[in-house]
Amino acid sequence: MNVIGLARRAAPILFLIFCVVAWQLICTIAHVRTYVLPAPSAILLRLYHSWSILEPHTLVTLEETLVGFVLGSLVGFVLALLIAYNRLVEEMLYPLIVASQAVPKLAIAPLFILWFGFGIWPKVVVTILLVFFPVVVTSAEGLLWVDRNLIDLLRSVSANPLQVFLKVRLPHALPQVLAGLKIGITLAVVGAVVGEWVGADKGLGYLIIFADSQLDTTLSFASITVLVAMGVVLFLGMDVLGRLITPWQRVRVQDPGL
Amino acid sequence: MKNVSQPSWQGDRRTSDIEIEGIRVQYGRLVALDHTTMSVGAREFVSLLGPSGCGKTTLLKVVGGLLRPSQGSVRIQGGSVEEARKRRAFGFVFQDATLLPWRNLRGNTKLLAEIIGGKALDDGRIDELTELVGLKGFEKSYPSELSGGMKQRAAIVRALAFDPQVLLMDEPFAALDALTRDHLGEVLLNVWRGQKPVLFVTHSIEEAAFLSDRVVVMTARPGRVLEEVPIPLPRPRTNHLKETREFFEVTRQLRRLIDQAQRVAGEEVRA
Repeated sequence: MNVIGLARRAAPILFLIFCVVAWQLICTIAHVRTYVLPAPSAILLRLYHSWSILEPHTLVTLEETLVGFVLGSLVGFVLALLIAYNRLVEEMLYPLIVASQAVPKLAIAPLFILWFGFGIWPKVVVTILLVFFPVVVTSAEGLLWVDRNLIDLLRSVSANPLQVFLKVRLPHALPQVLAGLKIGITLAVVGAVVGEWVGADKGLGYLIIFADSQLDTTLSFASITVLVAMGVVLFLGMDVLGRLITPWQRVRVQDPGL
Repeated sequence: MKNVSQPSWQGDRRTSDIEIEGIRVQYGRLVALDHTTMSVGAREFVSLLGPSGCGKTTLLKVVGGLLRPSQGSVRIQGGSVEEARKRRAFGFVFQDATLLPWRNLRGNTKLLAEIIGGKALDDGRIDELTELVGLKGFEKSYPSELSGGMKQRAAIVRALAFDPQVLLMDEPFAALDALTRDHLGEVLLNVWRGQKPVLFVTHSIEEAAFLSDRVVVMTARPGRVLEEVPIPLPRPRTNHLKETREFFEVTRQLRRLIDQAQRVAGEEVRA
Protein backbone atom coordinates (compact mmCIF):
# COMPACT_ATOMS: atom_id res chain seq x y z
CA MET A 1 0.00 0.00 0.00
CA ASN A 2 1.36 3.42 -0.88
CA VAL A 3 1.77 6.35 1.50
CA ILE A 4 -1.36 8.16 0.34
CA GLY A 5 -3.43 4.99 0.73
CA LEU A 6 -2.09 4.48 4.23
CA ALA A 7 -2.78 8.10 5.19
CA ARG A 8 -6.28 7.78 3.74
CA ARG A 9 -6.94 4.77 5.96
CA ALA A 10 -5.42 6.26 9.07
CA ALA A 11 -7.16 9.64 8.70
CA PRO A 12 -10.42 8.79 10.54
CA ILE A 13 -8.55 7.32 13.51
CA LEU A 14 -6.05 10.19 13.61
CA PHE A 15 -8.90 12.69 13.59
CA LEU A 16 -10.58 10.97 16.51
CA ILE A 17 -7.30 10.97 18.46
CA PHE A 18 -6.84 14.64 17.63
CA CYS A 19 -10.28 15.51 19.06
CA VAL A 20 -9.67 13.57 22.28
CA VAL A 21 -6.22 15.13 22.74
CA ALA A 22 -7.65 18.61 22.14
CA TRP A 23 -10.35 17.95 24.74
CA GLN A 24 -7.72 16.74 27.18
CA LEU A 25 -5.53 19.80 26.60
CA ILE A 26 -8.40 22.26 27.03
CA CYS A 27 -9.36 20.64 30.35
CA THR A 28 -5.77 20.59 31.60
CA ILE A 29 -4.62 24.02 30.45
CA ALA A 30 -7.81 25.90 31.39
CA HIS A 31 -8.17 24.01 34.69
CA VAL A 32 -11.79 23.14 33.93
CA ARG A 33 -13.43 21.74 37.09
CA THR A 34 -14.19 18.05 36.88
CA TYR A 35 -17.91 18.50 37.70
CA VAL A 36 -18.22 20.94 34.76
CA LEU A 37 -16.33 18.91 32.14
CA PRO A 38 -14.15 15.93 33.05
CA ALA A 39 -11.06 15.28 30.94
CA PRO A 40 -11.02 12.13 28.75
CA SER A 41 -8.31 10.64 30.94
CA ALA A 42 -10.52 11.05 34.02
CA ILE A 43 -13.44 9.43 32.23
CA LEU A 44 -11.33 6.47 31.15
CA LEU A 45 -9.97 6.00 34.63
CA ARG A 46 -13.49 6.13 36.04
CA LEU A 47 -14.66 3.56 33.48
CA TYR A 48 -11.93 1.23 34.66
CA HIS A 49 -12.44 1.73 38.39
CA SER A 50 -16.24 1.82 38.41
CA TRP A 51 -16.88 -0.93 35.86
CA SER A 52 -18.43 -3.11 38.57
CA ILE A 53 -21.08 -0.39 39.04
CA LEU A 54 -21.50 0.29 35.32
CA GLU A 55 -21.73 -3.33 34.16
CA PRO A 56 -25.14 -4.37 35.58
CA HIS A 57 -26.69 -1.10 34.36
CA THR A 58 -25.14 -1.63 30.93
CA LEU A 59 -26.66 -5.10 30.69
CA VAL A 60 -30.11 -3.77 31.63
CA THR A 61 -29.97 -1.05 28.96
CA LEU A 62 -28.59 -3.50 26.41
CA GLU A 63 -31.47 -5.87 27.07
CA GLU A 64 -34.07 -3.10 26.67
CA THR A 65 -32.32 -1.92 23.52
CA LEU A 66 -32.20 -5.34 21.88
CA VAL A 67 -35.74 -6.40 22.84
CA GLY A 68 -37.08 -3.05 21.67
CA PHE A 69 -35.05 -3.23 18.47
CA VAL A 70 -36.21 -6.73 17.54
CA LEU A 71 -39.87 -6.00 18.30
CA GLY A 72 -39.73 -2.56 16.67
CA SER A 73 -38.15 -4.03 13.52
CA LEU A 74 -40.82 -6.73 13.35
CA VAL A 75 -43.61 -4.18 13.78
CA GLY A 76 -41.99 -1.98 11.13
CA PHE A 77 -41.57 -4.80 8.64
CA VAL A 78 -45.10 -6.16 9.09
CA LEU A 79 -46.52 -2.66 8.61
CA ALA A 80 -44.36 -2.29 5.49
CA LEU A 81 -45.80 -5.54 4.12
CA LEU A 82 -49.35 -4.34 4.75
CA ILE A 83 -48.55 -1.02 3.07
CA ALA A 84 -46.87 -2.66 0.10
CA TYR A 85 -49.73 -5.06 -0.55
CA ASN A 86 -52.76 -2.88 0.12
CA ARG A 87 -53.30 0.61 -1.15
CA LEU A 88 -56.15 1.28 1.30
CA VAL A 89 -54.02 0.19 4.26
CA GLU A 90 -51.26 2.45 2.98
CA GLU A 91 -53.59 5.44 2.87
CA MET A 92 -55.03 4.65 6.30
CA LEU A 93 -51.78 3.87 8.09
CA TYR A 94 -49.21 6.25 6.65
CA PRO A 95 -50.60 9.46 8.21
CA LEU A 96 -50.79 7.74 11.61
CA ILE A 97 -47.27 6.37 11.28
CA VAL A 98 -45.89 9.80 10.42
CA ALA A 99 -47.92 11.42 13.20
CA SER A 100 -46.53 8.92 15.70
CA GLN A 101 -43.06 10.33 15.05
CA ALA A 102 -44.17 13.90 15.72
CA VAL A 103 -45.30 12.94 19.24
CA PRO A 104 -42.54 13.90 21.73
CA LYS A 105 -41.48 10.59 23.27
CA LEU A 106 -40.33 12.19 26.50
CA ALA A 107 -43.80 13.66 26.98
CA ILE A 108 -45.69 10.39 26.62
CA ALA A 109 -43.14 8.11 28.27
CA PRO A 110 -44.64 8.70 31.76
CA LEU A 111 -47.94 7.37 30.39
CA PHE A 112 -46.21 4.13 29.42
CA ILE A 113 -45.19 3.63 33.03
CA LEU A 114 -48.82 4.06 33.96
CA TRP A 115 -49.87 1.53 31.32
CA PHE A 116 -47.05 -1.02 31.36
CA GLY A 117 -45.72 -0.85 34.92
CA PHE A 118 -42.27 -0.08 36.17
CA GLY A 119 -40.21 -2.90 34.63
CA ILE A 120 -38.59 -3.32 31.25
CA TRP A 121 -41.77 -2.84 29.16
CA PRO A 122 -42.27 0.95 29.19
CA LYS A 123 -38.65 1.32 28.02
CA VAL A 124 -39.16 -1.32 25.34
CA VAL A 125 -42.30 0.45 24.11
CA VAL A 126 -40.47 3.79 23.76
CA THR A 127 -37.73 1.93 21.85
CA ILE A 128 -40.27 0.24 19.57
CA LEU A 129 -41.81 3.63 18.81
CA LEU A 130 -38.46 4.99 17.69
CA VAL A 131 -37.24 1.90 15.84
CA PHE A 132 -40.26 0.92 13.76
CA PHE A 133 -40.41 4.19 11.82
CA PRO A 134 -37.21 4.04 9.74
CA VAL A 135 -37.82 0.31 9.20
CA VAL A 136 -41.38 0.76 7.91
CA VAL A 137 -40.45 3.66 5.62
CA THR A 138 -37.39 2.05 4.01
CA SER A 139 -38.92 -1.45 3.80
CA ALA A 140 -42.13 -0.18 2.20
CA GLU A 141 -40.08 1.72 -0.40
CA GLY A 142 -38.04 -1.37 -1.17
CA LEU A 143 -41.08 -3.62 -1.44
CA LEU A 144 -43.07 -1.17 -3.58
CA TRP A 145 -40.49 0.02 -6.08
CA VAL A 146 -39.90 -3.09 -8.14
CA ASP A 147 -39.24 -2.82 -11.89
CA ARG A 148 -42.55 -2.92 -13.77
CA ASN A 149 -41.04 -5.17 -16.46
CA LEU A 150 -39.89 -7.65 -13.86
CA ILE A 151 -43.39 -7.94 -12.45
CA ASP A 152 -44.75 -8.32 -16.00
CA LEU A 153 -42.20 -11.05 -16.64
CA LEU A 154 -43.38 -12.99 -13.60
CA ARG A 155 -47.03 -12.44 -14.48
CA SER A 156 -46.34 -13.82 -17.96
CA VAL A 157 -45.53 -17.20 -16.43
CA SER A 158 -48.42 -16.97 -13.92
CA ALA A 159 -46.16 -16.74 -10.87
CA ASN A 160 -48.15 -16.76 -7.63
CA PRO A 161 -47.87 -13.86 -5.15
CA LEU A 162 -45.73 -15.90 -2.74
CA GLN A 163 -43.20 -16.65 -5.50
CA VAL A 164 -43.11 -13.00 -6.52
CA PHE A 165 -42.51 -12.06 -2.89
CA LEU A 166 -39.81 -14.60 -2.16
CA LYS A 167 -37.94 -14.49 -5.44
CA VAL A 168 -38.16 -10.80 -6.29
CA ARG A 169 -39.78 -8.39 -3.85
CA LEU A 170 -38.06 -9.52 -0.65
CA PRO A 171 -34.50 -9.75 -2.01
CA HIS A 172 -35.09 -6.51 -3.89
CA ALA A 173 -36.17 -4.81 -0.64
CA LEU A 174 -33.40 -6.30 1.52
CA PRO A 175 -30.83 -3.52 1.06
CA GLN A 176 -33.44 -0.93 2.02
CA VAL A 177 -34.70 -3.01 4.94
CA LEU A 178 -31.13 -3.26 6.19
CA ALA A 179 -30.64 0.50 5.82
CA GLY A 180 -33.73 0.99 8.00
CA LEU A 181 -32.39 -1.50 10.56
CA LYS A 182 -29.08 0.37 10.70
CA ILE A 183 -30.86 3.62 11.55
CA GLY A 184 -33.16 1.70 13.90
CA ILE A 185 -30.40 0.11 15.97
CA THR A 186 -28.86 3.48 16.89
CA LEU A 187 -32.30 4.89 17.71
CA ALA A 188 -32.94 1.83 19.89
CA VAL A 189 -30.20 2.88 22.30
CA VAL A 190 -31.72 6.37 22.52
CA GLY A 191 -35.18 4.87 23.08
CA ALA A 192 -34.05 2.71 25.98
CA VAL A 193 -32.36 5.66 27.70
CA VAL A 194 -35.37 7.95 27.19
CA GLY A 195 -37.53 5.23 28.73
CA GLU A 196 -35.23 4.97 31.73
CA TRP A 197 -35.06 8.72 32.04
CA VAL A 198 -38.71 8.92 32.99
CA GLY A 199 -38.75 6.28 35.66
CA ALA A 200 -36.30 3.49 36.37
CA ASP A 201 -34.15 2.12 39.16
CA LYS A 202 -31.56 0.55 36.89
CA GLY A 203 -29.98 1.04 33.49
CA LEU A 204 -27.46 3.56 32.16
CA GLY A 205 -30.14 6.24 31.75
CA TYR A 206 -30.99 5.87 35.42
CA LEU A 207 -27.28 5.94 36.31
CA ILE A 208 -26.78 9.23 34.40
CA ILE A 209 -29.64 10.89 36.30
CA PHE A 210 -28.28 9.56 39.57
CA ALA A 211 -24.73 10.76 38.80
CA ASP A 212 -25.98 14.21 37.73
CA SER A 213 -27.90 14.58 41.01
CA GLN A 214 -24.65 13.87 42.89
CA LEU A 215 -22.69 16.31 40.65
CA ASP A 216 -20.64 13.23 39.69
CA THR A 217 -20.16 14.42 36.12
CA THR A 218 -17.34 11.93 35.52
CA LEU A 219 -19.64 8.96 36.18
CA SER A 220 -22.27 10.58 33.95
CA PHE A 221 -19.73 10.88 31.12
CA ALA A 222 -18.50 7.34 31.73
CA SER A 223 -22.09 6.09 31.32
CA ILE A 224 -22.51 8.15 28.14
CA THR A 225 -19.25 6.69 26.81
CA VAL A 226 -20.61 3.18 27.35
CA LEU A 227 -23.84 4.14 25.56
CA VAL A 228 -21.91 5.57 22.62
CA ALA A 229 -19.76 2.45 22.43
CA MET A 230 -22.90 0.30 22.56
CA GLY A 231 -24.51 2.26 19.74
CA VAL A 232 -21.41 2.15 17.55
CA VAL A 233 -20.81 -1.58 18.09
CA LEU A 234 -24.45 -2.45 17.37
CA PHE A 235 -24.40 -0.27 14.25
CA LEU A 236 -21.21 -1.89 12.97
CA GLY A 237 -22.72 -5.30 13.70
CA MET A 238 -25.75 -4.45 11.57
CA ASP A 239 -23.46 -3.13 8.85
CA VAL A 240 -21.47 -6.36 8.73
CA LEU A 241 -24.66 -8.44 8.79
CA GLY A 242 -25.99 -6.36 5.88
CA ARG A 243 -22.88 -6.96 3.80
CA LEU A 244 -23.13 -10.68 4.45
CA ILE A 245 -26.80 -10.90 3.49
CA THR A 246 -26.60 -8.65 0.41
CA PRO A 247 -23.19 -9.27 -1.17
CA TRP A 248 -24.41 -7.94 -4.53
CA GLN A 249 -24.66 -4.48 -2.99
CA ARG A 250 -20.94 -4.28 -2.42
CA VAL A 251 -20.25 -2.13 -5.45
CA ARG A 252 -20.40 1.38 -4.11
CA VAL A 253 -20.53 4.41 -6.33
CA GLN A 254 -18.32 7.05 -4.87
CA ASP A 255 -16.77 9.53 -7.23
CA PRO A 256 -15.31 12.56 -5.47
CA GLY A 257 -15.68 14.47 -8.74
CA LEU A 258 -19.47 14.20 -8.66
CA MET B 1 -55.37 -0.34 -45.91
CA LYS B 2 -55.35 -3.94 -47.00
CA ASN B 3 -53.60 -6.84 -45.48
CA VAL B 4 -51.30 -8.65 -47.85
CA SER B 5 -51.23 -12.06 -46.25
CA GLN B 6 -54.34 -12.09 -44.12
CA PRO B 7 -55.02 -15.74 -43.29
CA SER B 8 -58.50 -17.03 -43.87
CA TRP B 9 -60.50 -17.01 -40.63
CA GLN B 10 -62.41 -20.05 -41.83
CA GLY B 11 -59.25 -21.96 -42.58
CA ASP B 12 -57.34 -24.30 -40.35
CA ARG B 13 -56.77 -22.33 -37.18
CA ARG B 14 -53.80 -24.46 -36.30
CA THR B 15 -51.79 -22.94 -39.12
CA SER B 16 -51.84 -19.58 -37.29
CA ASP B 17 -50.56 -19.68 -33.75
CA ILE B 18 -51.49 -16.09 -32.93
CA GLU B 19 -54.75 -14.64 -34.24
CA ILE B 20 -55.31 -10.95 -33.48
CA GLU B 21 -58.79 -9.73 -34.40
CA GLY B 22 -60.05 -6.14 -34.23
CA ILE B 23 -58.08 -5.09 -31.16
CA ARG B 24 -58.77 -1.70 -29.61
CA VAL B 25 -56.98 -0.42 -26.51
CA GLN B 26 -58.05 2.79 -24.84
CA TYR B 27 -56.47 4.60 -21.90
CA GLY B 28 -59.11 7.05 -20.79
CA ARG B 29 -59.72 9.20 -23.89
CA LEU B 30 -56.50 8.16 -25.59
CA VAL B 31 -56.90 5.40 -28.16
CA ALA B 32 -53.55 3.60 -28.24
CA LEU B 33 -54.55 0.90 -30.69
CA ASP B 34 -57.54 0.50 -32.98
CA HIS B 35 -58.90 -1.99 -35.53
CA THR B 36 -55.78 -4.08 -35.33
CA THR B 37 -56.03 -7.41 -37.05
CA MET B 38 -53.10 -9.64 -37.88
CA SER B 39 -51.72 -13.09 -37.29
CA VAL B 40 -48.52 -15.02 -36.74
CA GLY B 41 -48.06 -18.45 -38.28
CA ALA B 42 -46.93 -21.55 -36.43
CA ARG B 43 -43.25 -21.18 -37.23
CA GLU B 44 -43.25 -17.60 -38.38
CA PHE B 45 -41.05 -14.68 -37.30
CA VAL B 46 -43.16 -11.54 -37.49
CA SER B 47 -41.95 -8.02 -36.65
CA LEU B 48 -44.08 -5.08 -35.64
CA LEU B 49 -42.44 -2.01 -37.13
CA GLY B 50 -43.54 1.57 -36.66
CA PRO B 51 -42.84 5.00 -35.27
CA SER B 52 -42.81 5.39 -31.51
CA GLY B 53 -46.26 5.73 -30.01
CA CYS B 54 -47.88 3.43 -32.57
CA GLY B 55 -48.90 0.92 -29.93
CA LYS B 56 -46.45 -1.87 -30.82
CA THR B 57 -45.62 -2.58 -27.21
CA THR B 58 -49.28 -2.28 -26.25
CA LEU B 59 -50.18 -4.90 -28.84
CA LEU B 60 -47.43 -7.22 -27.59
CA LYS B 61 -48.75 -6.90 -24.03
CA VAL B 62 -52.27 -7.67 -25.21
CA VAL B 63 -51.03 -10.79 -27.01
CA GLY B 64 -49.12 -11.90 -23.91
CA GLY B 65 -52.09 -11.37 -21.60
CA LEU B 66 -50.46 -8.55 -19.64
CA LEU B 67 -53.03 -6.04 -20.85
CA ARG B 68 -56.74 -6.50 -21.50
CA PRO B 69 -57.98 -4.94 -24.76
CA SER B 70 -61.06 -2.70 -24.73
CA GLN B 71 -62.32 -4.54 -27.80
CA GLY B 72 -61.38 -7.45 -30.00
CA SER B 73 -59.93 -10.86 -29.35
CA VAL B 74 -56.64 -12.72 -29.40
CA ARG B 75 -56.46 -16.49 -29.88
CA ILE B 76 -53.29 -18.38 -29.09
CA GLN B 77 -53.13 -21.77 -30.81
CA GLY B 78 -56.91 -21.81 -30.95
CA GLY B 79 -57.39 -21.03 -27.23
CA SER B 80 -57.71 -17.88 -25.17
CA VAL B 81 -54.80 -15.75 -24.00
CA GLU B 82 -55.60 -16.59 -20.38
CA GLU B 83 -55.41 -20.33 -21.09
CA ALA B 84 -52.12 -19.81 -22.89
CA ARG B 85 -50.70 -17.80 -20.01
CA LYS B 86 -51.81 -20.44 -17.51
CA ARG B 87 -50.00 -23.18 -19.42
CA ARG B 88 -46.95 -20.89 -19.62
CA ALA B 89 -46.97 -20.51 -23.39
CA PHE B 90 -45.25 -17.10 -23.47
CA GLY B 91 -41.56 -16.32 -23.37
CA PHE B 92 -41.05 -12.57 -22.94
CA VAL B 93 -37.94 -10.49 -23.60
CA PHE B 94 -38.03 -6.76 -22.84
CA GLN B 95 -35.82 -3.85 -23.84
CA ASP B 96 -34.13 -3.94 -20.44
CA ALA B 97 -32.73 -7.32 -19.52
CA THR B 98 -34.22 -6.90 -16.00
CA LEU B 99 -31.86 -9.45 -14.50
CA LEU B 100 -31.90 -9.89 -10.72
CA PRO B 101 -28.68 -8.35 -9.32
CA TRP B 102 -28.55 -10.90 -6.48
CA ARG B 103 -28.51 -13.90 -8.80
CA ASN B 104 -25.63 -14.90 -11.01
CA LEU B 105 -26.14 -15.52 -14.70
CA ARG B 106 -27.08 -19.14 -14.15
CA GLY B 107 -29.59 -18.22 -11.44
CA ASN B 108 -31.09 -15.56 -13.67
CA THR B 109 -31.53 -17.82 -16.67
CA LYS B 110 -33.22 -20.35 -14.40
CA LEU B 111 -35.62 -17.89 -12.74
CA LEU B 112 -38.75 -18.44 -14.83
CA ALA B 113 -38.24 -22.17 -15.27
CA GLU B 114 -37.82 -22.40 -11.51
CA ILE B 115 -41.09 -20.57 -10.88
CA ILE B 116 -42.95 -22.89 -13.23
CA GLY B 117 -41.20 -25.90 -11.75
CA GLY B 118 -41.67 -29.54 -12.73
CA LYS B 119 -40.58 -30.49 -16.22
CA ALA B 120 -40.01 -26.85 -17.18
CA LEU B 121 -36.79 -26.82 -15.15
CA ASP B 122 -34.41 -28.61 -17.47
CA ASP B 123 -30.77 -27.90 -16.63
CA GLY B 124 -29.55 -29.59 -19.80
CA ARG B 125 -31.69 -27.31 -21.91
CA ILE B 126 -30.44 -24.21 -20.09
CA ASP B 127 -26.83 -25.36 -20.58
CA GLU B 128 -27.47 -25.87 -24.27
CA LEU B 129 -29.08 -22.44 -24.72
CA THR B 130 -26.35 -20.75 -22.68
CA GLU B 131 -23.75 -22.25 -24.97
CA LEU B 132 -25.75 -21.41 -28.09
CA VAL B 133 -25.88 -17.68 -27.25
CA GLY B 134 -22.18 -17.71 -26.34
CA LEU B 135 -22.40 -17.28 -22.59
CA LYS B 136 -20.76 -20.55 -21.60
CA GLY B 137 -18.15 -19.89 -18.91
CA PHE B 138 -19.98 -16.85 -17.53
CA GLU B 139 -22.57 -18.81 -15.52
CA LYS B 140 -21.13 -17.67 -12.19
CA SER B 141 -20.86 -13.99 -13.15
CA TYR B 142 -23.24 -11.45 -11.64
CA PRO B 143 -25.19 -9.00 -13.85
CA SER B 144 -23.02 -6.09 -12.65
CA GLU B 145 -20.06 -7.86 -14.23
CA LEU B 146 -21.74 -8.42 -17.62
CA SER B 147 -21.99 -6.15 -20.67
CA GLY B 148 -25.35 -4.97 -22.00
CA GLY B 149 -25.24 -7.50 -24.83
CA MET B 150 -24.45 -10.37 -22.46
CA LYS B 151 -27.30 -9.39 -20.17
CA GLN B 152 -29.71 -9.36 -23.09
CA ARG B 153 -28.48 -12.79 -24.21
CA ALA B 154 -29.12 -14.02 -20.68
CA ALA B 155 -32.65 -12.59 -20.92
CA ILE B 156 -33.18 -14.56 -24.14
CA VAL B 157 -31.99 -17.78 -22.48
CA ARG B 158 -34.29 -17.05 -19.52
CA ALA B 159 -37.26 -16.61 -21.89
CA LEU B 160 -36.54 -19.84 -23.76
CA ALA B 161 -35.42 -21.93 -20.78
CA PHE B 162 -38.87 -23.38 -20.14
CA ASP B 163 -39.54 -24.01 -23.84
CA PRO B 164 -42.50 -21.63 -24.31
CA GLN B 165 -44.70 -22.08 -27.35
CA VAL B 166 -44.59 -18.40 -28.34
CA LEU B 167 -41.75 -15.87 -28.12
CA LEU B 168 -42.71 -12.23 -27.53
CA MET B 169 -39.92 -9.67 -27.78
CA ASP B 170 -40.22 -5.95 -27.09
CA GLU B 171 -37.32 -4.05 -28.69
CA PRO B 172 -34.85 -6.43 -27.05
CA PHE B 173 -31.81 -4.93 -28.79
CA ALA B 174 -32.83 -1.27 -28.84
CA ALA B 175 -30.58 -0.26 -25.95
CA LEU B 176 -27.48 -1.93 -27.43
CA ASP B 177 -24.79 -0.50 -29.68
CA ALA B 178 -25.05 -1.18 -33.43
CA LEU B 179 -22.34 -3.86 -33.60
CA THR B 180 -23.74 -5.82 -30.67
CA ARG B 181 -27.22 -5.49 -32.13
CA ASP B 182 -26.09 -6.99 -35.45
CA HIS B 183 -24.39 -9.84 -33.68
CA LEU B 184 -27.35 -10.61 -31.41
CA GLY B 185 -29.66 -10.65 -34.42
CA GLU B 186 -27.69 -13.62 -35.76
CA VAL B 187 -27.59 -15.21 -32.31
CA LEU B 188 -31.37 -14.90 -32.03
CA LEU B 189 -31.95 -16.56 -35.43
CA ASN B 190 -29.62 -19.40 -34.44
CA VAL B 191 -31.52 -19.99 -31.23
CA TRP B 192 -34.92 -19.70 -32.88
CA ARG B 193 -34.26 -21.92 -35.93
CA GLY B 194 -37.86 -21.55 -37.02
CA GLN B 195 -39.09 -23.69 -34.19
CA LYS B 196 -41.77 -21.40 -32.77
CA PRO B 197 -43.71 -18.27 -33.62
CA VAL B 198 -42.04 -14.98 -32.72
CA LEU B 199 -43.66 -11.57 -32.40
CA PHE B 200 -40.87 -9.01 -32.40
CA VAL B 201 -41.37 -5.29 -31.73
CA THR B 202 -38.79 -2.95 -33.22
CA HIS B 203 -38.31 0.52 -34.63
CA SER B 204 -35.31 -0.55 -36.67
CA ILE B 205 -36.04 -1.17 -40.35
CA GLU B 206 -32.85 -3.19 -40.85
CA GLU B 207 -33.53 -5.35 -37.83
CA ALA B 208 -37.09 -6.09 -38.95
CA ALA B 209 -35.96 -6.93 -42.49
CA PHE B 210 -33.10 -9.13 -41.36
CA LEU B 211 -34.97 -11.19 -38.79
CA SER B 212 -38.49 -11.55 -40.11
CA ASP B 213 -40.58 -13.69 -42.41
CA ARG B 214 -43.10 -10.89 -42.43
CA VAL B 215 -43.08 -7.27 -41.24
CA VAL B 216 -46.25 -5.57 -40.05
CA VAL B 217 -45.89 -1.81 -40.47
CA MET B 218 -48.00 0.25 -38.09
CA THR B 219 -49.13 3.88 -37.98
CA ALA B 220 -49.41 5.96 -34.83
CA ARG B 221 -52.23 7.73 -32.96
CA PRO B 222 -54.15 5.51 -32.92
CA GLY B 223 -51.96 2.51 -33.66
CA ARG B 224 -53.16 0.58 -36.71
CA VAL B 225 -51.81 -1.89 -39.21
CA LEU B 226 -50.76 0.01 -42.32
CA GLU B 227 -49.35 -2.83 -44.38
CA GLU B 228 -47.98 -6.34 -44.08
CA VAL B 229 -44.79 -6.99 -46.00
CA PRO B 230 -43.53 -10.52 -46.61
CA ILE B 231 -39.73 -10.78 -46.55
CA PRO B 232 -38.75 -13.31 -49.24
CA LEU B 233 -35.07 -13.45 -48.24
CA PRO B 234 -33.63 -16.98 -47.96
CA ARG B 235 -32.73 -18.63 -44.66
CA PRO B 236 -30.46 -19.33 -42.87
CA ARG B 237 -29.47 -15.67 -42.78
CA THR B 238 -26.18 -14.14 -41.69
CA ASN B 239 -25.16 -10.50 -41.50
CA HIS B 240 -23.70 -10.78 -45.03
CA LEU B 241 -27.29 -10.73 -46.23
CA LYS B 242 -27.38 -7.04 -45.36
CA GLU B 243 -24.88 -6.32 -48.16
CA THR B 244 -27.11 -7.77 -50.86
CA ARG B 245 -29.32 -5.99 -53.35
CA GLU B 246 -32.38 -7.99 -52.30
CA PHE B 247 -31.97 -6.85 -48.70
CA PHE B 248 -31.62 -3.27 -49.86
CA GLU B 249 -34.85 -3.59 -51.88
CA VAL B 250 -36.71 -4.84 -48.83
CA THR B 251 -35.46 -2.06 -46.55
CA ARG B 252 -36.27 0.53 -49.21
CA GLN B 253 -39.84 -0.73 -49.39
CA LEU B 254 -40.13 -0.70 -45.60
CA ARG B 255 -38.66 2.78 -45.35
CA ARG B 256 -41.23 4.11 -47.80
CA LEU B 257 -44.00 2.56 -45.73
CA ILE B 258 -42.62 4.07 -42.54
CA ASP B 259 -42.57 7.50 -44.22
CA GLN B 260 -46.17 6.94 -45.17
CA ALA B 261 -47.00 5.82 -41.63
CA GLN B 262 -45.56 9.03 -40.26
CA ARG B 263 -47.46 11.11 -42.82
CA VAL B 264 -50.72 9.37 -41.89
CA ALA B 265 -50.04 10.10 -38.22
CA GLY B 266 -49.30 13.75 -39.04
CA GLU B 267 -52.55 14.15 -41.00
CA GLU B 268 -54.60 12.66 -38.21
CA VAL B 269 -53.04 14.99 -35.68
CA ARG B 270 -53.84 17.97 -37.90
CA ALA B 271 -57.39 16.71 -38.51
